[in-house]
Amino acid sequence: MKKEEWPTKEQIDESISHIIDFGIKKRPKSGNHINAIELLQRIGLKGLFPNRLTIIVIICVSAALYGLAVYQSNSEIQLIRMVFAFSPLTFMCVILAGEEYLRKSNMNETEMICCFNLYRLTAVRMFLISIMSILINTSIIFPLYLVNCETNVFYIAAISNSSLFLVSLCMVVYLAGRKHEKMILFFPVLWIAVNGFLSGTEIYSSLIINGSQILHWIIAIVTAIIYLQQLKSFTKRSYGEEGKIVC
Amino acid sequence: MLILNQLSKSYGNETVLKNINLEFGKGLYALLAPNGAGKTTLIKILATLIIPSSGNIMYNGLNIVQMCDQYRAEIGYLPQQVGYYANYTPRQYLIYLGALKDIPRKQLNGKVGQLLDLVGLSDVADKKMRKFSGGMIQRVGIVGALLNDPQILLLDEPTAGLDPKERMRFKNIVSEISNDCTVILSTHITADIDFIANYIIMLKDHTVLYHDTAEQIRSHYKECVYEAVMPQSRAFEYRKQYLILSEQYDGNNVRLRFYHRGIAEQDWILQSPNLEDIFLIVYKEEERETVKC
Repeated sequence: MKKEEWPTKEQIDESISHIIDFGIKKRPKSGNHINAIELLQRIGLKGLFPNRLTIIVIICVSAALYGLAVYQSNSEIQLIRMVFAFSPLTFMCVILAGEEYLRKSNMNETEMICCFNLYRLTAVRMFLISIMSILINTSIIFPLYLVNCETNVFYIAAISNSSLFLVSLCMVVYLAGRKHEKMILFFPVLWIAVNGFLSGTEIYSSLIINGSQILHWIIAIVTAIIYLQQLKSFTKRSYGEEGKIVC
Repeated sequence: MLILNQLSKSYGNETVLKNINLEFGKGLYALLAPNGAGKTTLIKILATLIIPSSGNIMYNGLNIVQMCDQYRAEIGYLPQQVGYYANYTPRQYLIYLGALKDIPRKQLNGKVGQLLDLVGLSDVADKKMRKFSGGMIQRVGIVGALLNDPQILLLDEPTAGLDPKERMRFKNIVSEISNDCTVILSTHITADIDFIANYIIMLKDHTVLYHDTAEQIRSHYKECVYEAVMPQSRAFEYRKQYLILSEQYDGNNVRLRFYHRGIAEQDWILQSPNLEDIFLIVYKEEERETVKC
């Protein structure tokens, strides 16, 4: 009887890795930073932001508008109002441009059934845009100290971040539901209108104008944590609300 | 093996699909029904874009909703309106899609070239897609759906808007692919599936009317399609009395192809029904009956 030959060590190793590869399918890791890095490595910024030219223009225009609003303020009260109202502008406009581009490209269904699905992409995009918005806002706010050394730039930064994360949280909660898909386009208008409406009220005055720096940092941190948790839940999400397609 | 058990889908009070039971193995399955019959809903449920209201879909014994990512890795989906980024070239678009599908980059580069070759787009692989015709976009779309070597390929009205040449090319590609996997193609154009579909599924009243081979479905209508040549003046009577399947004019005469169950007249010539005849009989006869009532 012919004796069957033993496989070589290389063949055994190859078979083991084949079994392991087959059995343990790699899934995208959760957690925004890991996903962001993983996605960036795989598809690059170009893939993550296919409408990058539009985004660059939006960033330039919104940053210029923000700078104009901040540096043209006559008083500290006006400065605070402007910072609170305009800090989320870049974030909102970039997100909206991305959503609109996605809608027009009809890519939502195609991206939804991929391993890195639409929700995971949205989460990473929002995470990166938030970081970018903080950097842009901060780089505009801190030189205020050079213009007027009496300006409490840390207080202004606290207001800027609390406003940014409040809006970010509202947007991520809205995107999770997507009950009326085009309503999101009215977010910037709604935010400015709400600000304009509330700016004359007592509650706005006591919370925004005369609120403490600690309170604003607390608001910023709490909303940022909830926002990041929402984004994390996006990274684990595979279906739209009630099984409907997103967007 | 993909099995649909008692699958239903409703939006509020409106039922789109009711108690659908189907089994899919390897081969080409054509989902044939008129617009609004629930084809796209069924394809989207199979693509896990919509969750059914009741019933389930089992893939190799596991529920696809619970499998989710694992199942999605096994499917390729071509939506009715192929999504694409106009400022991308087909190669950039496919590499982007491949990355989203978690296909290793090394493997991806070769695969993209190979598939672009298959659909005849190698020469425009590095040209922006904004100037592409509908047919070219459709071909890029099918490459996108094939990138992950799907076991199940879902095509939702893939030939809508294509010219006859593109349609024929597409038909050949799909026919070739269906040798190795399950292809489920929804359409209302019978010419798209004639001779290439292994099985035909016809939906009517939100449920499955037929799930059989084209030959078997034809056999249900074996002795009820006729042709008759008559003067145009007489054709009016026939139009009122029978379901006309086609008309061909020849001078003062007209050749009518029509549907009739019962005793035939002497000058009628019995015809073998084609898929288009059956489509018209199944979906038009009902309309006719309603109008008559």
